[in-house]
Amino acid sequence: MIAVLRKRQLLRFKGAAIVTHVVAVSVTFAIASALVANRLLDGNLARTTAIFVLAALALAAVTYLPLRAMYRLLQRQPLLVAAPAALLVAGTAAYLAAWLTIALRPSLAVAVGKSLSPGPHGPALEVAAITVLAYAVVIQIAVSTRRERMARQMNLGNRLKALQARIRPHFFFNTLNSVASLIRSDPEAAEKAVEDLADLFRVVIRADRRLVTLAEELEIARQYISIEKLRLGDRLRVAWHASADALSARVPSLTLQPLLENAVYHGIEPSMTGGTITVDCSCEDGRLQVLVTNPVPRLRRAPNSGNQVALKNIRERLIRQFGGDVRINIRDTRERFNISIDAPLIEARASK
Amino acid sequence: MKILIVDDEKLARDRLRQLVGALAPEHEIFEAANGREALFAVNDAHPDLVLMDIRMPVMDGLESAMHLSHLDDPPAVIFTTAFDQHAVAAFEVNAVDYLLKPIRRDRLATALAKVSTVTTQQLRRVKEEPDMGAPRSHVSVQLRGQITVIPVNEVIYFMAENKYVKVRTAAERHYIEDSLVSLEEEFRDQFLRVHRNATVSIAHIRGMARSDAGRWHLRLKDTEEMLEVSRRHTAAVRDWIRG
Repeated sequence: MIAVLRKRQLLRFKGAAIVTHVVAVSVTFAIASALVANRLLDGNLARTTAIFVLAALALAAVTYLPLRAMYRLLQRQPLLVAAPAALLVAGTAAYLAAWLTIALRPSLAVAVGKSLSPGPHGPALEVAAITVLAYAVVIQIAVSTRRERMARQMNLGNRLKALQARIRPHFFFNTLNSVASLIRSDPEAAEKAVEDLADLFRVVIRADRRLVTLAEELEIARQYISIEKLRLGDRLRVAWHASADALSARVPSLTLQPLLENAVYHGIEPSMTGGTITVDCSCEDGRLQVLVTNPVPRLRRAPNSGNQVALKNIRERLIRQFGGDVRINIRDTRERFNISIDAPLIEARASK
Repeated sequence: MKILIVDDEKLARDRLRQLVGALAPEHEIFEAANGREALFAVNDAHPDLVLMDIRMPVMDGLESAMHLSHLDDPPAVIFTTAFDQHAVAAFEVNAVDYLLKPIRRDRLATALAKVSTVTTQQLRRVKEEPDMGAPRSHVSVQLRGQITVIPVNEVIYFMAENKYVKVRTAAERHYIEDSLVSLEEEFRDQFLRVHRNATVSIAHIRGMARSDAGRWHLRLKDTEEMLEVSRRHTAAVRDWIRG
């Protein structure tokens, strides 16, 4: 009944505590009264009901108090520890209370039903068992609703982060700055830049499971490069190679441009003289091969931690987009930095 | 007022020049393409204000501002950045002025109006933020109101002499006030401690030789000098040369 409990979930008593107790105890007595439906005390329905209600409240108080006292302790434990602990405490309290009650008023024993052994032990154990069962149900409900809520929040958080990452602020604001500068000095270049930027962002904003042809990807990549050339000028040079059969291959949208963006950021920008980025696309043995390389400027610092993060993201994104059957190889020599993608060749459907 | 505009992108410099010219044509404007050129420009032109981009090759804006802060009478520095979460956070902590690109005309006007010499301590502190604690690309010396910068990869060794540290390059000797210990720590990836009073650039080590007296010396590139390796450091240096 209690589903697999994840390691780090915490059981919270805050706020839900009272509700939990009332529900648990009500359920306990609903079950109990169903069992004793035909065992009215002295044959009197009203009196039986009254006693049941009082007993319910008493049991609620009896199990609530020790749990409340242990609240702080239980709150910090992982669910795997806290839940059984809570059940044990509630069960023990219920048992003791029932035992005491029946020992003092043996006539109540018959209300709980026949039991195997004489004396208060048997009925008290039954009361304890029903209480534990009821609590278990309530805990399960509380945990699964909480897990659902957390999953939804995390999902939302991740989607926001992904969207933010796609906007690429560094590129975006630098481009706007360049455009602002060009408006007076070269209005046509400014206009073209705005159009290129709009096209690029149209692709970026869309959901990324779409398949497009490599030719379309190269077009977007070229537009991106022409935008970057505005501010980097001759520092940025790109050599493009794509075989005819590679051009018609289909790849997930936005495969190529982020690789170029990484190459510009880490390979061109840190150098006064800049360099050449190479892009090679070809088909081999029914697989698509894409290779992007950039120069490695003489860095005075240790390997850039920012680059590691960017590469990890690129790798994860490509694996997610291609859905698994893709090999990404990153090779960092002293002269050049190389990223290669080895992916299945998905041909475009028959042309119109 | 003399204003120095520092940015590796020509379009960005053009725009700032345009904006300043429209706001206050009486200001004299100078340009530099990176942090190192900015220091030379400060030496030559003595600007009152530097509009400094952060992300630049050769030497970035933060390091350049840090070197400037060691001048007796440093110019005011206002940073410009397209988008840099870490830098902006540091600026806010240290109450240093910054402008976000593309810069708004009215924001530039406000900044120009309240130009005051930024506290040198604030500028030094910005560079020391944990995220930006990468080693410097240059060490700087201040002489008669002029800054001289020495690229760290041209330094052959640092040697402690009296209260100063000698910085030896192929052609020159300079003296800086940094302690040898802090230099050793900062440049631990590029330099090797060989003696109580010397730490040597790894790239400049040619080999090791033993003198008649049995002491080890290092043979170095770009100089005839040989540096003595202390007994305490001999094992470490030999291990390093072998490995």
